[in-house]
Amino acid sequence: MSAPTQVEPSSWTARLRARTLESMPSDQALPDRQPAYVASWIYVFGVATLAALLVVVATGCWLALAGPAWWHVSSLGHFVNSLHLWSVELFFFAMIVHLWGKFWMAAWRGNRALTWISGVVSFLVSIGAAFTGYVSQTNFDSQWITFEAKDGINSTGVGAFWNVVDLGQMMLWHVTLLPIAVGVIAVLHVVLVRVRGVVPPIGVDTDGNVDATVVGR
Amino acid sequence: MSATATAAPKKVRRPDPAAGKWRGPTRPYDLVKEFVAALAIIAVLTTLLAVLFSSPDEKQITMQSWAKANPSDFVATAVTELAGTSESAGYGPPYNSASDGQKLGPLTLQKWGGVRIPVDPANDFVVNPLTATSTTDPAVAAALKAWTGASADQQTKWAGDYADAIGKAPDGDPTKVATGDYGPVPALATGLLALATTGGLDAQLVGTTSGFYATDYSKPILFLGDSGQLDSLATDQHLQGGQWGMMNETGNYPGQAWLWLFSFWYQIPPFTTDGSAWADNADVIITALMALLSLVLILLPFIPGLRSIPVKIPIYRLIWRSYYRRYASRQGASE
Amino acid sequence: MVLEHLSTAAGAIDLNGTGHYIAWGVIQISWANAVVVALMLIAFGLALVLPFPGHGDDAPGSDK
Repeated sequence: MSAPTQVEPSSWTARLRARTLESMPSDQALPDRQPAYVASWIYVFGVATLAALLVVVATGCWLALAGPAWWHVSSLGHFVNSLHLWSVELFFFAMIVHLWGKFWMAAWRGNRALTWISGVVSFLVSIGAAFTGYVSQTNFDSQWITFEAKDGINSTGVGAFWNVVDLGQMMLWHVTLLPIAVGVIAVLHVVLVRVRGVVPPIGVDTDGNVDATVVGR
Repeated sequence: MSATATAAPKKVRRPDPAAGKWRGPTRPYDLVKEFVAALAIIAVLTTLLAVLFSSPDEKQITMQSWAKANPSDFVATAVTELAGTSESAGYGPPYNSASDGQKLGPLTLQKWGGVRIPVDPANDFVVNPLTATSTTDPAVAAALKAWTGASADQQTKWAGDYADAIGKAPDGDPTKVATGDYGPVPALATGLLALATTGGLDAQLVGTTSGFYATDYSKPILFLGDSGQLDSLATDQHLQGGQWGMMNETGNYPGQAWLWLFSFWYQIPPFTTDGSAWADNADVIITALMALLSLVLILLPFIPGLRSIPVKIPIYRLIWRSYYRRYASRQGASE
Repeated sequence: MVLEHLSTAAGAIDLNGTGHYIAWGVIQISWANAVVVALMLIAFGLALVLPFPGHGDDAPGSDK
């Protein structure tokens, strides 16, 4: 039975359950149908970004198993590092094509501003996560990047607290804090897409009616 | 404004036609299958790229490798540290108070951070490492005694004069400088060179911050950064700021193309105009500018003009062309 | 082990060594980055124009 039951007003559990089920009924969390306009290859770049993120995390975990020096001394380690690097390139590739698509669809329409905002924020946080990865390489590249980046960050006063040349601090941010942040924001973003639904085409209302003047027909 | 009979008009503003649950035509769509397919494709692509191209791993440079590869540059740099004329010596917060650092208009942001990573180049890079290891070298011990016993002005004069002399020597070779009164500075510099060549300086620079365990590489990075060595290696790899280096990776690997706009500002006037306030404070101004532009991107849905670009330039007609074609007869919607 | 054969320090195509750059006025971009950006634009363009398979069962309002 999915009829709303009597909710005990003093029960936080019952109220949270009711609110959750109200905003996302069980058949909306994983629907097997989509609006008819979800029929373009541009729509695959969101899920491609998520898939790439999973590969980034998995290969990162594999690198973490043996620690930061492993990839310099082991050819398997070097290969896993290569997997991690290329999955990051694919991640940003897919995310930015996804961003271009969402911009040209004006996907923030219909109360979807928070979906857009969470997407852009996840992009910016991902750049931070990538940066902390680059400075954790323990090779010439990380020496140079930290040497340059410290000037930018020191100039804002933040460098006194966030020391890019401190390998321990940067690596912990890279392996714990920033992946958690990216993950939480990504989950929020996907939940918002499910709750609000994929944005209808420009010139189309939620009954599916088409405004001929907008679509140029 | 259309007056539909379905909903009681409860707002003065036009209702957003894109808001609310979709009640129009639908089609079967397997989200889980799509995700699994995406995961498989990305995993295969990643593996292919890793097998084809691998990843770069340019070996780290050490004080030891620097001292061996370029002893003249090492000595010259050590002398500027003693003279207080190196970039590190004059950096300002978070390392020292030699300057206020960069300003964003009237805001001295760099200074507000405070000196929380104290670095005193003359002592941290030269005097202290030598003191810790001078017991076996009487010449270095005597030079240290002469240095620490002299006044700050005398120290600056010795080191400054020696730095100038090295600059004028053929090939910047310290062994070919003109004779002059440089006090204990030449002995200190050659003593440090000897220490660096053994690998002892690398340990001294990191260990003195926190003892046994150390993860803060501020001192060696600052010392290395003052040299010509790090600089020329970076120039070779097109990693300098003025070479769009922020976007680049070593060799022919793709780098961080998403940093194109951050990198761009460093290439144009007034940020490239040497000596101007814009150039002197380029880092903080450009960082603030990028923060502002990021905010614009975040708040795009609320910015009139910008948010209408996708409607004015109708790429959407390509994206949704099959829906428009198939359902053109479903008239009645209004924007 | 297959993995041991896969894990060489340089890949089948060695991207280490002197980098190549495109210089045009103030713009300088590595060939590698230029290729990546070009591929992104191509992917975007193709995604817009390539037909998407299937016309499914377009049942109006049948997503309840």
